[in-house]
Amino acid sequence: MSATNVVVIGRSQFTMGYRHQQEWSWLITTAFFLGNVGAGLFLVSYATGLSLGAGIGLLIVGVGKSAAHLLYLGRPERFLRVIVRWRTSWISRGLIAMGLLLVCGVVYLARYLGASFVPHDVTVAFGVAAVIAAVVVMVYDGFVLKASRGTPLWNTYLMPVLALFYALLGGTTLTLVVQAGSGATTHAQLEWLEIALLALNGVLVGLVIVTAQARQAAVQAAVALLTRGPMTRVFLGVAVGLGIGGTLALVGVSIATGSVAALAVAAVTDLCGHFFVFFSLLRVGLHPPLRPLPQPVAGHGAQAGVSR
Amino acid sequence: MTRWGMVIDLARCIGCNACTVACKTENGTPPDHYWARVYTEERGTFPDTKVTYVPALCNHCEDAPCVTVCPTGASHQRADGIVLVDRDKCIGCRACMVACPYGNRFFLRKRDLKTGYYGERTAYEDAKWKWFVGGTVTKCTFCVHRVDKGLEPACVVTCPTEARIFGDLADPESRPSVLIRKRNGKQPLAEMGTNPSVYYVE
Ligand code: SF4
Ligand code: SF4
Repeated sequence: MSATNVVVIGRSQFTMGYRHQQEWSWLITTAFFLGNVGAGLFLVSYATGLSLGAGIGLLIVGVGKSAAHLLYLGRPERFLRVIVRWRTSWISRGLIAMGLLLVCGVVYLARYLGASFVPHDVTVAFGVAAVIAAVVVMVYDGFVLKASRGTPLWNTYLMPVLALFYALLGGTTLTLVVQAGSGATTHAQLEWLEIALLALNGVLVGLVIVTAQARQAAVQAAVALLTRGPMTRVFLGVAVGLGIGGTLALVGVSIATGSVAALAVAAVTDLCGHFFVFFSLLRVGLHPPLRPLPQPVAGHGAQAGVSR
Repeated sequence: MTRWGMVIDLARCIGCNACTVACKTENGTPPDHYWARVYTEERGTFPDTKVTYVPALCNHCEDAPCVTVCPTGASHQRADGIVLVDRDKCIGCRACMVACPYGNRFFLRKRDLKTGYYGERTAYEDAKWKWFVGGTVTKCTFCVHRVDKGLEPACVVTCPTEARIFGDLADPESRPSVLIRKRNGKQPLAEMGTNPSVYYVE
């Protein structure tokens, strides 16, 4: 399917065609992104014993992600109701995990912040609980997308896998930056992990595109918009080209020369790519037409590949 | 156990949109909230063209993804299959809108209730909009306030061609059940696995 065959009807409620999901855009991408990189930073910092990184990770989740969610909600004052439906809703589960991560993470870090009265065993137990919660925060938005049956592009287990590995990548990137910035011991393995994760995420993004051919028409239509339509520059140029290709090159330079500047630029390109992968996937979320679509009738409104 | 549902007869619909207006009048929905509406579907190329009018509304799906994803319990399903939103519980996260394959949910921005259809709110809008809460999601209720009194939904009683037929899908002898059986009724986007309570016959 080519992008020029995709009839997107935008906000019209009286014309048959693919409808863009119009609701989740910048703010939800920001909330997902900050949750991913914050929890990822906490996890990787925990694994490498970098308490400063773990603390920054908690701040990103606690302040950044929370703020993005609250700004988005229609009734933010009812925010606490979000935990009610944990049995069926991944949003509930994710937000509960977020609360656990913050509480357990703060207790875990308390000793490092000078609260020496906190027993060692408590620090260990809360650290483990925080790590489990961090993994849920890293992955839950992928499950939220997977559960959205109305948007078939997202309705695949590739989404939680993508969320998990992008979160790990973002966490690794930021851990490298915090290490370099704070003068902490640099773990050479982290740079190689970064390269491996970049390659893996490249493969996962490729799989989303390639597997679309075997899936329903709405998925093919969405992928056509991503690869040959209005989102192509953002998706292929920024998310894939800059975010994966550019970052790979810069991390390679950093490993070869030990350049901190190259590492810093790599962090920017990587985080940009991360944000725009999910932004593009959200923006091309298409709902299928109520009935199989007829061929567009020339000159009668249904404009190819463009919302109206 | 009752399962309320509807059959829409595409051979009868003339695209007059009386149901669209009846729904707006009955429920006083704000601008751009079309709980009932009629799609125009064009097939073929001139001079061999065919227009079909396809009335649509919430399908009150048995396996409703909008209910599953709702984190607050605001979206819920009654025992008779009617899917509703509790406006006092909804936080406006819009996960249900993204999850509904049919585009049958509408977000009500707070500012949308400030002015009426024509700038200033009318007495009618003042009266009807008491039921709406800005920052929440709205959807077709199958006219639950009428159904609970033994009446049919407003779109059904208004339709001049009787293209919308309402009844109990759990009763094999109800009008919708018989029509579905005899005329091979089809659910919209059945492949989504939502098991809609609305069927189409052609
Ligand atoms: S049509 Fe949409 S809003 Fe209505 S029950 Fe089904 S999924 Fe929910
Ligand atoms: S917008 Fe309201 S009804 Fe919809 S999922 Fe969120 S809380 Fe539930």
